[in-house]
Amino acid sequence: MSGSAKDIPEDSPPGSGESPEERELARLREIINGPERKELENLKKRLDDPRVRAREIASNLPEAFALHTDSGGRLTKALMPSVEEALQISVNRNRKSLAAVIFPLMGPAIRKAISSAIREMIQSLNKALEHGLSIRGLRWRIEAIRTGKSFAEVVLFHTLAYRVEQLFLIHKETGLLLQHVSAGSVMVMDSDLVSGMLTAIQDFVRDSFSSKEGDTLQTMQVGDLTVWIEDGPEAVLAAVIRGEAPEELKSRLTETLESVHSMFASELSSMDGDTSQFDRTRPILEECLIEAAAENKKKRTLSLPFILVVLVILSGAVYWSALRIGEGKRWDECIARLNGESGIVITSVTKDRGKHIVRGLRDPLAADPAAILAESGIPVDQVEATWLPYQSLAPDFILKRARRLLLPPTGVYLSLEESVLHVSGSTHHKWILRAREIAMMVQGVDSYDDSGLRDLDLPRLEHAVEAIQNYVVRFQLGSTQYADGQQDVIDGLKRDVKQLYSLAALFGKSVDIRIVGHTDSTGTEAVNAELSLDRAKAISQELQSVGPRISMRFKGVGSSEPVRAEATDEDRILNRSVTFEVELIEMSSPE
Amino acid sequence: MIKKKVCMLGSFAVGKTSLVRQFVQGIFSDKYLTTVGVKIDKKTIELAGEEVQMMLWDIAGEDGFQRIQTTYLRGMAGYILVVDGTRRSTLEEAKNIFLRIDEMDIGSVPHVVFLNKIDLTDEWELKGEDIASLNEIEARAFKTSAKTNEGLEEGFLNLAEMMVKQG
Ligand SMILES: Nc1nc2c(ncn2[C@@H]2O[C@H](COP(=O)(O)OP(=O)(O)OP(=O)(O)O)[C@@H](O)[C@H]2O)c(=O)[nH]1
Ligand SMILES: [Mg+2]
Repeated sequence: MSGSAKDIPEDSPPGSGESPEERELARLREIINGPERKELENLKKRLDDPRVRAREIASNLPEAFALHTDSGGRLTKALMPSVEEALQISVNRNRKSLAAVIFPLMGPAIRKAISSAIREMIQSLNKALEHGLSIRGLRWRIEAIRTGKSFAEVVLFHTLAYRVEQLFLIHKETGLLLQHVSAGSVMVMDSDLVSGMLTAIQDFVRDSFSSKEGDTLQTMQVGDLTVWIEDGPEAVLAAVIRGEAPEELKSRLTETLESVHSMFASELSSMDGDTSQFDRTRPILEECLIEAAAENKKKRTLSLPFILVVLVILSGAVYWSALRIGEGKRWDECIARLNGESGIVITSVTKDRGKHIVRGLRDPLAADPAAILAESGIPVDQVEATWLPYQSLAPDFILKRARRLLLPPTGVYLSLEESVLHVSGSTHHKWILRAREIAMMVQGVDSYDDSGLRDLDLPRLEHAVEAIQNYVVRFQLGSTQYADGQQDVIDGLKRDVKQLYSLAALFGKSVDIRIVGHTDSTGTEAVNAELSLDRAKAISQELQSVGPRISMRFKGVGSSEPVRAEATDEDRILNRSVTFEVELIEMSSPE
Repeated sequence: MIKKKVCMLGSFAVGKTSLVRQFVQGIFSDKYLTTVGVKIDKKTIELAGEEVQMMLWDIAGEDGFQRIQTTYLRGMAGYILVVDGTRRSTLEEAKNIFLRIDEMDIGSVPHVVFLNKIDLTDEWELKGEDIASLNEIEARAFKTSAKTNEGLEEGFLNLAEMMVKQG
């Protein structure tokens, strides 16, 4: 019995007895509730296990945030302290990474803030000084106190008056006027010329004061007219304004220029002088001819204090820039000279604590940068130059290097044509061989051509062969004794053979000398054959002394191959002799 | 109307300003006032029934110390190299300017040479071979005088034609 009781689940309702009905009931319960119970267990686990809960919340968080922002800022407020704290910790721990994130935003923002603050300051300074002491000024002061605005703001509010009198739409590249609009009664000078001059002035300013393409003149003051210049990628919009326009006008101009760019993109980029296609910009431009009336039309004059302030600022700037330009110009020229020098490449020019820091590459064969610096009159201690060696691939440097390596003798000329080194002129074979071997080692030379070079040794070799073949060594009648005076001939022969051998070696050739013995036609052919062979042998022994490496063959031809057809005694004398045949054989290359 | 930017280039005192002044206003003066920076004038001419407006950029001449500022040359459709016929050296200088422009990588820009001050026959230094040597720089030459107006119309018109053809 107790065994079957184990089948009843432990969590059976209390009081579940042994009775069969109750057992039946429990089983029934189990059948009906089983699945739900498992689910309940799972739910319990989900609620109890923090890991599971975190995973679930994470997947719902974005949605939850979205819901919350829609329904007011409570979540934001709640999060603020934590986020602030997190930022604080992040800043304390690693300032750099945060700075890197913010930097791209900060730079322009700071610049903008500063420049507009300065402009506003001057604007408000001007007005404040002017109106400071008048009765109306007093009224405005009260208004300022009442409204909580700054006095300057109140003054500006009451007096701001300006008129955009003319607009010039200028093609940036050519300086040509694309379109010009002007307010009704304005006296207009030749707008084409104004457009050109505005461009030239921009060029001038950019050239003289700034090196960056993007830096442009933005404002110009001509009498009581102000010119605002909006710079775009293809076109420039210049507004001539009388009076003092608010900063908002600037963004208005920017927008106008932007819409001109987007509406006339293709016309702008393919401008070839036909400006009539820009007539359609007129309505857009005319919208910028804005006029704002001031409360009083009394002609305003600049106050003395303001002029003084501006003068002080200006003269300081002029003095400072004059100083800098004088010294800077010399330095710029020097850098330009160095850069222009071939074999010198400047990679960076910076300034550090008053010292010019120059880095670059220099071919060892280039001019000495120190000398150039000295010539430019720049004190040596103001410059710190570091040059990494490199090999310039400028043609003149490749040639310089080739000359250094090949050492061409007089009469040999080097030239470079698209990395092919050409050699012309004439010289000895030895140099030619050496040059062929090492020319390709010159940095920048891709192939070598000496087809234009004449080998001075080649004709000498041909000569030497011919000279030997012209020798005839004569013998006494019926003997292997030399005829009178033949010792000199033998000596000459030895000399020439020696030379032939060394010349041939130079050209990689070996020499094969065949020594041919002859007799005259007197006597029997058998005797003659032997005599002729002996004569040849005698000469071959003679030539052994020239050098051990000499290869010779000898033969006797008796009277069968006479040196000269025999008719006279003289012919016979010539036929008692030894002659030579020379052959040059290509030596197989050592490889 | 078609507008074209044209630059007047050459050594100092060759007569760039005088040529523009004569061409645009019909005035000549013996006084020499060197140009600082650039001065811009315009002249509209008629070419085959069509009006062409030349914006003439008269740029300060080159001397030993100062080279032409190349930013002023941006976007020009053509240029005139002015040579002073009484100073032979200005011819070489004009050729050098051409070479520098050629290196600027702005493609081939229509150009002509003005051999100026032709009225000063006694001091004229250029010979036939000098003028022939202008082939090197692919330029047609015109003998001009800012004083007598000789050759100006023909020279400017010629350049305008080349520019319009180039598109
Ligand atoms: N006789 C004569 N004199 C001329 C001629 N053209 C210019 N001149 C004179 O030459 C001098 C220089 O002329 P400019 O036109 O000022 O020369 P430029 O080329 O503009 O000179 P920079 O502006 O200094 O580069 C002036 O004295 C002119 O009068 C000419 O055709 N004939
Ligand atoms: Mg001038």
